[in-house]
Amino acid sequence: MNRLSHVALGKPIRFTFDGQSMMGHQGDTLASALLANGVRLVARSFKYHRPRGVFAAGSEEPNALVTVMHQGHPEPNTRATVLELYDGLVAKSQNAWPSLKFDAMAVNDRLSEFFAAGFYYKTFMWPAKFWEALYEPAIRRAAGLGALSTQEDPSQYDKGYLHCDVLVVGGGAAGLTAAVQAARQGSRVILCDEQAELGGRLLDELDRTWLAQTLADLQGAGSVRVLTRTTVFGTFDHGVYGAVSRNTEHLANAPVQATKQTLWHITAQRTVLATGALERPIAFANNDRPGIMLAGALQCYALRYGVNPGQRVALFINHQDGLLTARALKAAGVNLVAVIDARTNVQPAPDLPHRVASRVQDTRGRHALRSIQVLNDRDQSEWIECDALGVSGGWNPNIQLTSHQGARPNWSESIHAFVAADNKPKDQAVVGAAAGRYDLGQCVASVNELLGGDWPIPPCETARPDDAHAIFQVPGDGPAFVDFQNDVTVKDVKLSHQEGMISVEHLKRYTTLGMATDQGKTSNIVGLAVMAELTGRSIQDTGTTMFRPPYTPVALGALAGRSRGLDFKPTRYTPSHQAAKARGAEFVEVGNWLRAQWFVQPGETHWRQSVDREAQAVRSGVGVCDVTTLGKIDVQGRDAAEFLNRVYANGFAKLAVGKTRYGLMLREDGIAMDDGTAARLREDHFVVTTTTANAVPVYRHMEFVSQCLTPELDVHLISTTEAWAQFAVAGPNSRELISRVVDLDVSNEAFEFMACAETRLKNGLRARLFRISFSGELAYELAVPARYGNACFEVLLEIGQDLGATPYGTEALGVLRIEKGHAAGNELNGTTTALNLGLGRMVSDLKDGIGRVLSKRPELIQDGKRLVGFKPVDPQHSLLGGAHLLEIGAPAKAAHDLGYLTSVCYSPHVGSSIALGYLADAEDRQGQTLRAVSPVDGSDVPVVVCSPHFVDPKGERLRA
Amino acid sequence: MLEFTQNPVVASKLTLGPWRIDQVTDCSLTSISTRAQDLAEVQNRLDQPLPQVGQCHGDAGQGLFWSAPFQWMRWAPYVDAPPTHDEFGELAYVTEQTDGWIRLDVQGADFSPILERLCNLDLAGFTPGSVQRTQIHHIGVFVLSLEDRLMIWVPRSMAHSLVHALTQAVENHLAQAALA
Repeated sequence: MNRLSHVALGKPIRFTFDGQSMMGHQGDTLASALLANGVRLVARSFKYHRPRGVFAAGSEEPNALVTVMHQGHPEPNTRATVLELYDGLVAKSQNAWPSLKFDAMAVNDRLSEFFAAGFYYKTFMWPAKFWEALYEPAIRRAAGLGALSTQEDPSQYDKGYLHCDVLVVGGGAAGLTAAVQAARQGSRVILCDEQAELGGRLLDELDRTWLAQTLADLQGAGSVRVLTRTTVFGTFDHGVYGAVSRNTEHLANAPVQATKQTLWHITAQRTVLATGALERPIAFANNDRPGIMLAGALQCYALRYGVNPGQRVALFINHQDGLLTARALKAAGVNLVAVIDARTNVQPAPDLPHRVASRVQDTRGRHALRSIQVLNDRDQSEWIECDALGVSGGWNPNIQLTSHQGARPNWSESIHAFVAADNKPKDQAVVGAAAGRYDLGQCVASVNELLGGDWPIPPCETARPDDAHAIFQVPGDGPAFVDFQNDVTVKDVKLSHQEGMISVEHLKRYTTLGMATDQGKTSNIVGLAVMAELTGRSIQDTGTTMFRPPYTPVALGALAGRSRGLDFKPTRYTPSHQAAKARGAEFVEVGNWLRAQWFVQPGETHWRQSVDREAQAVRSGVGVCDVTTLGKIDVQGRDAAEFLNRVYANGFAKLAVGKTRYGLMLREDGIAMDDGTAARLREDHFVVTTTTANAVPVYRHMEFVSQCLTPELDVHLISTTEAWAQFAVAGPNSRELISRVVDLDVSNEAFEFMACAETRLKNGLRARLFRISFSGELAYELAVPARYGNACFEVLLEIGQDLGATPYGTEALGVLRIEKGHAAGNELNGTTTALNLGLGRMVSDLKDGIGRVLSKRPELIQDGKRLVGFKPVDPQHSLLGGAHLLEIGAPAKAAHDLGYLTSVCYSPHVGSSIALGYLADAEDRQGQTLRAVSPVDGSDVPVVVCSPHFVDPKGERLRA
Repeated sequence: MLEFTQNPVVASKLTLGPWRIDQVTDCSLTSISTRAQDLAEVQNRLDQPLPQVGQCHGDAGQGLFWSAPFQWMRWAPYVDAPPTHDEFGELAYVTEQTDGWIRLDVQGADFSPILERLCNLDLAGFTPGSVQRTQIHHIGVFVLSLEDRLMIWVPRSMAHSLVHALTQAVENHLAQAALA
């Protein structure tokens, strides 16, 4: 084991990597445990399948992606650097075949000359049809990350909502200081950190005295909610932040109910970004060999996890902070053989093997680093044997969250890095390293300045970002990687420039720089710098691409939370659901409602048998259908009638109390919106009904009209859809059945067609009765308090047995209304007018109403399509909804289109299929034979144009 | 005589960890809607002030909560007598809402750990006397904080989905708490 002695290791635990059993310790990440076991080759690169090792120590890791088995389910592309080790962890390398060490696809590296940026676009253009069939699948197999299992994720996820005065993102020096100070000032604070332990880079120090004291202060500071293992991944509107907590991924055997991850929606009055900084690499030839990593990562593995990164370790730096890293490594017992410093204006440090004015030119080593070529300022080169190299080209403040709302960061020449823009979200403040103030003292000072505190500035060695010698690349012969995860090299950046990619956005898309799952955390700035060098512009002028959420990948499961499978949405049950189920109902989803579609009787083997029987039962006896789902809106107020006059196309002012009227509602543009009824229960009280689908949109529309268009009218609206269980009782025997239940004279004289009343049932239960008909039969709708809906349905069927009382579902309901020629959603399809529906006269010119003016547009007036009926010439033929209408002999082309079928059913009353549809010049075509042509199934059926009223065209039944 | 039984309840003495959830059927709900100029007189008739925005007052038996601009809901012991126009005349308009909603009472320990997983409420300010119209599991609900309970009014057709969501959230919370 490659362990240093200064760290007290946790309890030993076993894990496997690529089937090999290894030992780690509690507190390790998979990356630290692999390094401790001497495993340096952990992955193959995306495109060239080059050997890769651990490169970073945090979520910015581009290389060490593995597939982990979690609760028996493979989780691909897991960063080994953030995965906490647990007993029995099983991890596998990915993107290699047959094995990580002997990867056949490594031949790509030999052919890399051919695979430069843009290669695919140029090479696989011909023949075009080969792209989907051959080229793309082959490329996808050759290049890639881990594979999805395609199995359902067995883990559970949940969501939550948090609110605070101050959200502190990042639990390092600055974040801890900010949390303590804000809490002591009385703020409600939420402190999030993506690591398991608070402390940030202070955890990578030997001396943790300040950290320990500050953590103790945090305990007693006040209202601070600490969320560790939580990544704040996005800034959204109005002070809302998205965060994901990882609850169980660090545990061997957590119950699935404990939810793998929680997605937090955090609303913060103010946010302090203490997100630290990420180290950036330097591009030089073969800078990707396993064993080469960020200098800060070396320090982290050595000092925090006690991992000796190598027997001979070198550093390649360009700033003062690199020397602090070197001294920390030395103090931890690491054998430091060279500190190669690009700066020319400093003296060699006597306590270190410090080589100033030098740079790393190239490296050697097949599966891991063996030696580095160092060039001094006199261009003399020397190969130095080493098995670990830490690289630091400076630090980039972690400012992604400041840019998610569109603010592009500013380049700071003084620290050679981008800092937050002035137009970042107003609720955000940036402190500590994220503001380019890197050392402990500066972190604390920046928080003091922000919160007006006087927290003591701890003594510390000063990091001097301003003394950095800006170096982003070392020219050389081999591939110098800029974006490790997407295998983008300096050469690719140059090529894109040669090919005319001037904008940094073009560079990104042409080379895929920064488009991998790490979002270019370690690559963007180096790529921009190389681009700037090529164009001769400054980095500020070159600009940067836009940061967008999420900061780190977020599982789709976390975004879904509990809303998956049957829990995707709530289910709405009708009041008679249980009774319907007991009577053999098959249900259909209508919005969120489950409605009885038909009721299967013994011996019925096909749905048509059930539906035909139900429709016939209504026509010959009486049927009962739950129509609770239709929207019900209570409209009250002195101006209720005038209000309805405005929202409906037809007039309601003169509707008598105790009467109901059919109403047609238009949109502002004159297109039909919804239809329904309005019953006048009192002078100033109406009950409006809507279609099921439009219950909410119509209510919303009416509220809009009330609040915005007619605020002068005294109107009070409230939905009562759920309050009343409502049943259609339809058929020639309906009056008899209703009279057995309702304590009211329902004779034709006393309760005529379109009458309504608030009444009571014979058992005293309050009820509402409407004499309205959708089926065309003598019919009523009876409403009772919803809690009695199930009983009411049962009672109606029970006491109407001798009358042939039959439950019927939505399918029979549809048959009955098509037979009657009543429009429904198929006809009110968002493109049709009152004229199309044959209801042109309902648009009253005697009063103003929404949609009236625009319904008179010439284009709408001239549209001669009208709703008519159709029957197949041969009764054996079936019709298909959506089929288009053509003249006999006309080619089936749009130019010859005469209209289309909207609703189709088999009519047991007619004895054949029937249809409703819109037809041009319909009045002149009555009795004419046309063709109903459907390119969808190739059908071409001769049909006869007829009245849309297949049943009782004079309306005698419903007035009987 | 017609025998009408009530639809089954969705939760009765449902014990979830340290919480108990009950559907309260013996309760009516009525909306009261008025105008600015009539507000004072309506309060006189009620003999009590109407709650401010986001506020409620009352107890398990009866009370009032704000539901929309110039609109309140009143809960009271259940009677099979719908509210009538006579109560306020033209001063205010009442609408029977009892069976449109199901009342679920949550009693026991602090329910915040569950509520924060279900709805976007700022719980620090959600003290007794508060009401919030919010969404739980995509369902529009009223959540009321009273001295001894939370009162949730949920549309009747979706009440069983809400109970399922509450149950699932409690299970998730308890399992997570056991890890700590």
